[in-house]
Amino acid sequence: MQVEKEARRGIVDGLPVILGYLPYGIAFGLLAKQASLTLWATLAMSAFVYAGTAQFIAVAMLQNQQTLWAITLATFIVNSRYILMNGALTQKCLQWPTWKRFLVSYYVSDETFVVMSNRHKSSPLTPAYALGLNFTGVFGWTTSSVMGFAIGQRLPNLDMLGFDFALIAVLIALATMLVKDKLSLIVAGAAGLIAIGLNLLGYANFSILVAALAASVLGVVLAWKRKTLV
Amino acid sequence: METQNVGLIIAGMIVVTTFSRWLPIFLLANRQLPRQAQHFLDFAAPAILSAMLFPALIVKQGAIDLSWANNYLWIALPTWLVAYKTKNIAYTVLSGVLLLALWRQLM
Repeated sequence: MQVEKEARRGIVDGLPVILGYLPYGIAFGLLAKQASLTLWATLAMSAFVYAGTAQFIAVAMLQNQQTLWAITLATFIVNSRYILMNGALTQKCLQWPTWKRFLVSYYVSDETFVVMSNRHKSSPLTPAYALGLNFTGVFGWTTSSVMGFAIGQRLPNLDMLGFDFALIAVLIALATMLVKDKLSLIVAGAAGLIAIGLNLLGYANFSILVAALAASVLGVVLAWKRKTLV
Repeated sequence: METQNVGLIIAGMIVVTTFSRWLPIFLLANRQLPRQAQHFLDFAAPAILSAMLFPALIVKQGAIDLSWANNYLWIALPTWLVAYKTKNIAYTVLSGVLLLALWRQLM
């Protein structure tokens, strides 16, 4: 059956993706355990949010005693890129029944988006393919998160091994990759300084979001001014 | 950390992420976000990370701590260098963790 062939192809194409997920999933599970999340919470985040960057940031914010609203807003901002990705993807699948498009787009990720876009160039995307791919992805991601959690349970206190720094290192890596030009560097710098200021004044709880929002607005204004000066 | 609290937070994360993933299907068009909104979102992600990082590295117990006792700050610098050169999360985490372990053994 064509459906079986497509689904199988989707699963096969998903294997290298979950291989790539493996270290990050394990790292996430481990960090979640370190941050005192339960196994259920870790599993739920990986299985139902399925967004690595947002998950790492959420764990960091949880350790920082940030509020529900702060974490939710941060998650929205960091995951807003899915609006564009699924915008592009749904264009390729307009002839599908709508419910299948909803189902497939729920589990889109940066990597599976690339795989699907490439696939579509050689052979039209089918729901079977996309479902095979996506469910392989979420299975792999959730499993590696659980593995990481289990590892975290068995390891003793790793402070002497410097492991408490792991989450900060992840944040440093993500920040470095996201700062691509001078303007975003200025924004990041401004956000950092404002956050320090708020912390010193005793507003640690609001510092992340207020600093980030203020700096982002500054960025938009600077970008706008740049356009009008040209 | 109360389970209730974390559960609510995860629920919130699911809601906003699902919203972003499903919005284009509801709108049924490959519409571009208004340019300013796109800029804002592009800036907001590094801004959030930076707003988390700077205080975590520099502010200890309500005051700025630039002393050598502040491990995280000094290890963060070479860690950042690795991140900058390799653009790889795994290498960055590994080097940061190892450097800190080394530092702690030596101090």
